[in-house]
Order: sequence, then structure tokens, then C-alpha cells
Amino acid sequence: MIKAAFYYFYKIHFRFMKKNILFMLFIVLFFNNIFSQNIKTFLGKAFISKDSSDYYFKIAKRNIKTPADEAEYYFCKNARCNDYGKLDSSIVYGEIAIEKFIPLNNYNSMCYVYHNMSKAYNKQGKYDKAIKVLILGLKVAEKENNEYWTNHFTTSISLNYHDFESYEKGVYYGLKAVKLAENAKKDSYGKMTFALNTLAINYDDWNKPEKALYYHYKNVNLSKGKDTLALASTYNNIGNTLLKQKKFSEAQKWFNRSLVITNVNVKDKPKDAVYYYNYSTIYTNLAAIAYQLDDFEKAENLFDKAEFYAKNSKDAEKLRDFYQHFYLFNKKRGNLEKTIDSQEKYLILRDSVFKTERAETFAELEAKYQNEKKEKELINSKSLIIQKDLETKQKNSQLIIASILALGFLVIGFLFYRQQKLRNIQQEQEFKLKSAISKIETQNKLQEQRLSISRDLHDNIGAQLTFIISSVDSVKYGFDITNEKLDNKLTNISSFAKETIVELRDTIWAMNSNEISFEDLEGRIHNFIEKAKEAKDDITFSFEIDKNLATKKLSSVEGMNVYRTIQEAINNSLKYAKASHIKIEAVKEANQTKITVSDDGIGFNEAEINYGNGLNNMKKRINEIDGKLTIFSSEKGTSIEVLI
Amino acid sequence: MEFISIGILLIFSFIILVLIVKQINAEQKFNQKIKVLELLIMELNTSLVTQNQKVKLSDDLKIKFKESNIKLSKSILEMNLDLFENLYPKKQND
Repeated sequence: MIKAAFYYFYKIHFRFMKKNILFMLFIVLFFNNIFSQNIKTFLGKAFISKDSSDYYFKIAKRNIKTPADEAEYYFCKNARCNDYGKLDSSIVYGEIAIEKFIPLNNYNSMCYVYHNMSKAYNKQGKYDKAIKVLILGLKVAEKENNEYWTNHFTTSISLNYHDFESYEKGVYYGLKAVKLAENAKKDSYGKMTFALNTLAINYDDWNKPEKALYYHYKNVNLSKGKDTLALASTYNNIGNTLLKQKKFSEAQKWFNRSLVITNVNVKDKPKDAVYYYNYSTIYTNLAAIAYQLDDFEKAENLFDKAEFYAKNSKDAEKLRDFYQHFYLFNKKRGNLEKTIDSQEKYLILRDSVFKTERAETFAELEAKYQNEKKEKELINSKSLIIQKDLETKQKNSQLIIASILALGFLVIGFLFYRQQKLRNIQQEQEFKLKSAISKIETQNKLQEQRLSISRDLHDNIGAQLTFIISSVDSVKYGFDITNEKLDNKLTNISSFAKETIVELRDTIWAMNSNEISFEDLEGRIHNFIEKAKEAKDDITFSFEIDKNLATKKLSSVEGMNVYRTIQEAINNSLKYAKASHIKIEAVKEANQTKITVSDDGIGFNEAEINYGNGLNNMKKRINEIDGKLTIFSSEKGTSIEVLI
Repeated sequence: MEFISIGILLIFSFIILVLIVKQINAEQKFNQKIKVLELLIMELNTSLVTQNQKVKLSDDLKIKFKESNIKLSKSILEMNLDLFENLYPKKQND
């Protein structure tokens, strides 16, 4: 059946394309190169002017100065010839223009040229070639990531497959075009209507009218409230589908609507190929309805009109459709001569389109394109994998850096924390030590004060005792005391006061020295022995001190206690032992000092004797300075050992 | 990226090293300071011990003085009594 109704839309789209070409031409002319102003002016005039076109093209050719000028010249020739039906010339100029544009990398102009060439091939019914150039154009558009041309070429391929009656592939590309239009960022509506129409006519001629109508109505709904004048082709296509379903009256309504819109659309516009194409479609369809309804007279009139428009459209497909219906009409009418004639013409046109060789070339071309596409996809997926690998590596590196940063900050933070903690501990420790120092100092001062008071007291007591001794001695000397008892009493008081003074002097001696050496101690003991000798001149004394002990220092308490112990031991020997010799010896034994006071007296039995104050005091004093006192006594004498 | 990682690692290592050295120095300084303070405490303590010993000697002497005082007072009292005993008959006779 007739599939040409779609072309109304397609041609409208081409008209839009033509506007684009003009716009692009002006852009190229005015902004590309200021030095080739002349050629651009002439090319502009040649493109616009119908009668003087050749003249301006000749002048433009003479003014070609650069490869870009030359490419533009052939670009304009290609477009011009295409518009005015010089299809072979258009193709030749197009091929030259493509050659010139390739080194200039002018991909957009190349897409325009591919579009024009496909259009020319389509008009000639050379759909294989049309698809070939469209695939080339699609490759360029995909490479340049050009949304508009990718969409346009995909839809055009679908359309040419439709014309070639390869509807399955037509539907494949049609669906692809719809998907592209859905994702389009610019002019989504225009791309979608074009794609939907293409898809619908493919379904229509593939004997799937429901799907065809679904997409047609979708297109009508999409266009609601926008541009109903653009729906002429859709209405025509709907009519076409209904015609196939033998719904003649409904189909006629849709064709009539399409005719009305077309009449409005062509008003005040030049009668170009689109004009003839559209009317050819509508009148052929209306004629088909008329002869199906056996209205042969009306059909005859409509076929006359359709023939006129089909021939003027110079479109092989339009002529093919016309002759197809015309021979069926004549066959039904019984006009054998016209039937044979129109059938022959139809078959010639059809065969020219569907030669086997061309179909094979077609398949090869398609396969090649698909292969290239798959390779491209493979390369893309490889590059995607590499990119993902890179991203992963980058992420890993970022992770490592982040880990290092985190760890670094953690360690630094820990070190700062530790430093602060240490500082606090140090400050606390320092404070404690300073407090201790302060406390000890206070205690020292206090003790110093106490000692000072004690010294004053000792001085006073010393003076008072001296006064007592001197008073008693004066009394004894000044008065003749005959009373023995009284005399003894006075003597006792004087001796006791003298003993107390001696004790006081000894203590003051010890208190005035921080340390007491054995030399000091030796001197002091010597003095005491001398006094003892005065009292008991029949007793001999020997006093020996180890030379190693000369430098040994004792504390004041130690010195005092050792001195008092030796004193007590000597006193005991003098009082009770009846000794003739008393020996005092101090030696160093290991880390200790051994002081021995021994006599050759009568000794005493330790079990029988009661420890009096003297012995107890000795033990107590030595214990106080962590020393040990041992008493050995026998008939041969007594020995007192002090270990400190 | 690796270069940046190494760079950051080096910077952090340097900072950490500086902080550790600083901490060790601070610790050493503190130990020295503490040592001086400890020596001072020891010295003061020795001095205090000496003072305490002297005070102890003084206290011991005080006890001795008390004993001497009692003894002397007793002797003087006894001597006074003897004097009264001797001198009173003489006064009676006069």
C-alpha cells in the first residue's frame, strides 16, 4: 500500500533543514574569514537567487582563494542542486564538498552535505546509497557527539529502510530514534515527532496497524496545543493505515484533513519538490479510496492530479506509488492497455529500487556499520574500564593519603596529649617538692628558734650554778664551819652544782657542733680521764683510738651518747671494780666502730646484780643511736663493748 | 598521588620527630630541676635532723636540770634544817 504520506512530514523537516543550511551559510560567510568577503557574498547571492544562480556561482568560483572557500563553494552547489532537483549534480558536488571538508575538520558542514546527498539518493530511489551516506553522517555525528545530527541520521536511516521495505530494521532504527529524542536536550519535540512518524509508518507497512496507530496518535497527542499545521503528514499517515484496514470513510476524513492543512501550509510558498511531493501523496491516496469504492470517474480525476504532482516531484517513490495504484485502478476498471502500461512502469520503478545486488550491498553496509559500532563500543568499554581502574587507583591513593593524615593527626594528637599530661605530672611533682621544702624550712626555723631559747636558758642556768658554787665556796672559806654535817652538806651542794655545770658544758659542746669527730671525742675523754686521775691516782688509764677512725664523724646525739656511755663505764669501774687499770679502746671493724671500756677489777655476776640507773642508761643511750652494748664481766675484770 | 603521599608522610614524620625530641628535652630539663630540688630537700632534711638532735640534747639536759634542781633544793632544805637545829639552841642560850 501507499507509504508515501509520511513524506509530507519528512519534507517539512527538510524545509526546516533548509533554513538551517541558510543560517549556517550566513554564519560561515560572515564570521569565518574576513579576507574572503567577496566569495561569500557571491555564494550567498547564488544560493538565494533562482535565475542568476549560475552567474553568481561562476563569479564565486573565480574568487576562490583558500581551501575553505573551495569547500564552501561545493557545499553551496550541492545544496542548490538538491533544492532544484538536479540530483546527480547534487551528489557529485556533495562528494567533492566532503573531500574538501575532511582536511578542514568541518564536521557540521559535512553532516549537512551527507544529509543532502541522502536526500538526493532517496529521491532517485537509491536507498542503499542513501543509507550508506546516512551511516557515514551518523559516524561523524556520533564521533562529534552532535545530538541533533545523531538523531536526524538515525531517523533518516529508519525512513530509508522503510522505503526499501525492510521494516524490521526500520522499526529498530525508529525505536532508537525515539529513545534518542526522549534523551535530547534541545528541540526534543521536533525530534520526537519525526521519530514517531518514521516508526509508525514502518509498523504500518509491516502490517502492524495497531502499533502504527498507537504511535500516530501518540504523535497527535504530543502535538496538541503546539503546531497543528505540522500534523498534515500524521493525518495522512493515519488515513493510510485506515485505508489498509478498508475503513474508507474514516480514511477519507483523515486525508481531507491533511489536504486542508497542506493547502494552508503551501499558501504563499514556492512550488518546490516538497509541494509536489505532498499533493502527489494525498491525491494518490484519495484516488485509491475512490476506485476502491468503485467511483471510477472521481478516481480518474484524482489520478490525473496525482500523476501531475508525482511527475513534478521527481521522486521515484512517488511515481512508483502512483503507478501501483493506477494499474490496480485500470485493472479493476477493465482497461487492459492502460493496466499493462502502468504495471510495466510500476515494475520498472520497483525493480530499480529492489535489485538483489543492491540488497546484498545493503546488508554488507549495515553489517559493516554494526561491526564498526560494536568495535567502537568495545573501545569505549575498554576505555571505561581503564578509566574505572584509574578512578579506583585514585580512590585508593586518596584513601592512603586520608589514612596517613588520620594516623599522623592521631599520633600528633597523642604526643600533644602525652606532653600535656607529662607537664601536669611534672608541675604536680614540682609543687609537692617545693611544698616539702617549704615545710622543712619552716620546721628548721622553728627548731632554730627553740635552740636559741634553749641556749639563753642554758647560759642563765650556767651563771646561776656558778653563783651557787661560788657562794658555797665563799661560805666555806669565810666562816669557820665546825659542824661536820653542815660542812658535808655544803660540799655536796658545791660538788653537785659542779657536776651539773660539767654536764651543761658537755651538752653545750655537743649542741654547738653539727658533727663530732673521734678526735673531738678523744680530747673530751682525755679531759675526763685527767679529772678521774686526780680523784683516783692509783689507777692507770690507757686510751687508744684507731687511726682510721680519726676522720669518722658522729652526729651530736651519737657523740654525746657515746661520750656519756664511756663516762658511765669509767665511773662504774672507778666506783665498784677496784681496778688498777682501765683501758679505753676504739677500733674500726668492718663498717662498724667498736668501743671497748675494760678494767682488771673484781667484776660482777650479772645474775646477782640489779641493773641500776647507770647500766640501764648506758643501754638506753646506745639503743637510741641504733648501736649495741654488751657487758662481759668475770673475776678478772669487766669489759663493756659498744658497737655503732 | 604517590608523591603527595610520600610528601605528607615525610612532613608528619618530621613533625612527630620534632615533638618527640621536644618531649625528651623537656623531660631531661625537668629531671635536672627535680634533682636540684631533691638535693635541696636532702640538705634541709639533714639540717633538720641535726637540729632535732640538738633539740633532743637540750630536752635531755632540761630533764637533767629538773633532777638537779630537785636534788639541790633538797640539799639546801636539809642544810637549812641543820642550820636551824644548830643555831636555835644557841639563840635560846643567848
